[in-house]
Amino acid sequence: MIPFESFTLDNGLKVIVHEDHSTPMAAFNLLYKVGARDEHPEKTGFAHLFEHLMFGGSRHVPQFDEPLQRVGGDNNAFTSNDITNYYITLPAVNLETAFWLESDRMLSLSFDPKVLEVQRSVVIEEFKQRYLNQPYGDAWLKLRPLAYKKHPYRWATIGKEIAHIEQATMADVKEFFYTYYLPNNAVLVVAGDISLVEVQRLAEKWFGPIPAGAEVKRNIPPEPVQSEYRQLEVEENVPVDALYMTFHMPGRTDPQYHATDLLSDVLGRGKSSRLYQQLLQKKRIFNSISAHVSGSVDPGLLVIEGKLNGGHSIEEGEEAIWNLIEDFKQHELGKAEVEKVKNKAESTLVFSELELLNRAMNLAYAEMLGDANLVNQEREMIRKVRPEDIQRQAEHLLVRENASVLRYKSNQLSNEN
Amino acid sequence: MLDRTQAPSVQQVQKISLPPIEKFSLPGGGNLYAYPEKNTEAFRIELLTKGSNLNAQNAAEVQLAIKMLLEGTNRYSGAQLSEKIDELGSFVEITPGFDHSSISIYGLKKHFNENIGLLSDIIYESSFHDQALNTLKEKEQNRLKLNMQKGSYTSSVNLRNALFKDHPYGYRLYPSDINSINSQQLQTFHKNYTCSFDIFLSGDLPSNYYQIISGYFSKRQPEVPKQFETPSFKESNAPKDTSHRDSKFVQSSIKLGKRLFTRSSPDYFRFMVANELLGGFFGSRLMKNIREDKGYTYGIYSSLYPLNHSGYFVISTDVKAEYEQETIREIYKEIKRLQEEPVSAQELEVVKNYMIGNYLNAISSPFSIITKYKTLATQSLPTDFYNNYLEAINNTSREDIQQVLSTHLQTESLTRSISGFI
Repeated sequence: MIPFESFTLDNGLKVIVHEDHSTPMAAFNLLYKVGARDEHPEKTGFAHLFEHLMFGGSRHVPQFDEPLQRVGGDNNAFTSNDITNYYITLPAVNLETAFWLESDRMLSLSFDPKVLEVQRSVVIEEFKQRYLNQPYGDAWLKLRPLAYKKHPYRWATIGKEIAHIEQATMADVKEFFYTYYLPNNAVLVVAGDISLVEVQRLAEKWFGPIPAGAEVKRNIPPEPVQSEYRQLEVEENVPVDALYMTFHMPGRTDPQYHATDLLSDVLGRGKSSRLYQQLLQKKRIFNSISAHVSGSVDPGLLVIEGKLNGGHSIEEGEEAIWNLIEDFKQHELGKAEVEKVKNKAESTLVFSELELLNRAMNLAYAEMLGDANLVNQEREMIRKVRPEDIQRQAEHLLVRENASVLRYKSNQLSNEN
Repeated sequence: MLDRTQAPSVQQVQKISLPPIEKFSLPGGGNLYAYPEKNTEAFRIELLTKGSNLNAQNAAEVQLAIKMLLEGTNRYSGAQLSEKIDELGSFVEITPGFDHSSISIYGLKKHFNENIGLLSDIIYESSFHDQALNTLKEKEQNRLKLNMQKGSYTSSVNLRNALFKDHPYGYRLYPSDINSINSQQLQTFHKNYTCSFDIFLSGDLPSNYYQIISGYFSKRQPEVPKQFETPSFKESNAPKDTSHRDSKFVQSSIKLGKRLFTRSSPDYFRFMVANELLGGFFGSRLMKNIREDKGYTYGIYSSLYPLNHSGYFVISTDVKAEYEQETIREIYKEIKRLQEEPVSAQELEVVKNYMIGNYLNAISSPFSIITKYKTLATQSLPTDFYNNYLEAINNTSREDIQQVLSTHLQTESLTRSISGFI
């Protein structure tokens, strides 16, 4: 249970306050409702590049990081396909510094051309470090456009290609800022050793004067229902063959979301899961195997991924997974197995709420979904799922016409050991 | 009218003290350290064992011995064990290490007893079955193969190996070592070393936790002879170049480092401040230069890794291949600049406040207080070590920074390890 109170400023900024006086710290989390799904198909990677520019100085404050470090604070940010999230932790006595810095960059950036040039290079190096200079690092760059044909989830947050980052202009930067970085398109969560009254005062003082902008209108093309099995085969300089299978599934707020999430757990969460026990431990076809869900706001993906053991082909691996899926559908799912994955899901929640900053992030994310109190209903929603709900999702989703399969083959000479 | 150019006033953190913990002796040897934190619903228990590099013939022995603990006990097969852990909603973490290896359970308070029972079973009743070992070896071989393709992995292992050579701190995994290990060898290692441990417990605990723990962990612990130190520590720390070139690398992974000291060094705190300025945080000289000014990299950091018998320092970055040499020149330039020119009072103040705020945050997150006590207990530090943190940081002067870097970080003394193109 995360207790909180909330209020909304006249300019539309939603503010959520979670008091916790067992710590001397405060967490300050500002979520903007904009992500890679809002990008133009020819200007991908922009939401993330923009996140970098947010640290390059604002209208009245030339430096974002240093004044925060001076008061003992630390900060970072991340961009996903759905959101851009900025967070700060600092000694609660210095809370006002966070208000000062974050409100100024919501008001206006410095739009310094040198910052754009440098961050463009930094992001290109990030692209290489994370996606190109790692074995299998580009698997998702290939998988997304296989699974999604229309929806902007077809590109990753880093972007489709380096060229898009290279071509970003200052005009793009400004347009993006004035469209999305608005008080009425953001959620602020302040948590820790603070009080509601103090947060109200500081929010009015620093964010109150920022004018609201035009309501953000999204026109995101929905992904058409997939009707054919899709497969892509690539050969790369990687040590062993890898297999990725994705299945379209409901979005984060759909009533069937939790049943689908638990389905992925039964199949492939951890060492007691079916995929691990059957295909890695018993049959030894795979060397690693797991399943998870993407958890995106719009309809997402259930993913099964594994690396093959030497002597077993990718075809054999895929066949074995399909057989396991068929077996799953044909036998009634036992209560004990469902209880196990529910317990794990529940304890994951408990552990995710230990850290103050995580609680702040969870509240902001839930509010973005529609209601901050969803964080406190999550356990109940997991508990309510029945074995037959999970089974139905399996029958419905885990079919060939809904599958997109990436066969990521090794072109290295096998060195059997 | 609100003046947005004016920063709000700064409040200094006045005092930070580590809350006391409870310490008990276990019936068969070893200690239990406990820090109860109410209302979290969760707890963590860690067995900090001597089954580490220091007592092993090679890295493979440590990795396999500790990982085999989750592959089955006399009561449960590996599959049943995983099933049990998941049923309880628990998470198990296995960490092979240089000085100690550890096995931890993160569990829910409502299942405290079951978790402790399971952990006791894991450590005392481990089965080391041949078939499970073969499967694990296969997994480890593949993991190693994958890691060997990562520039960040090879550059870091090559560096540590160059710094410590044959000393256990320099061990690296070899496929042949993984292959040649048998379960008999692992059982002996387990019995002699892993079964010697201290317990670190924190979180939401039942009031009779000591009775429960001492009931489950009562076996006589093996005597572990004083951990050895090889003569290589006394040799000169001569600079080397251990670069690894491969055409598949898209970036150059650069590591520059040298052997340094433990937390007991009188220079420890001053060096920590100097390191922070050089490359310890996002506002460091290296980050400002190589990333924020030149855009050569996504990130660059420097760190000191203090171990029980020695320590090492590393500067680490992945850069655009064509700027590899220039990056190294710039790194040297930044080190020299800190040695030759005093930092401004303002820059020093920022870094000190940042470190203090960070420390305050670090000891107010769950399970972190016990971690500090773990460091105190294993590195034989005075009990007031962390309570002096604030003062030691604040007392570091501009001259100290110059002096400590001139003493310990002469650029010619750095060993270079690069994994990159060409």
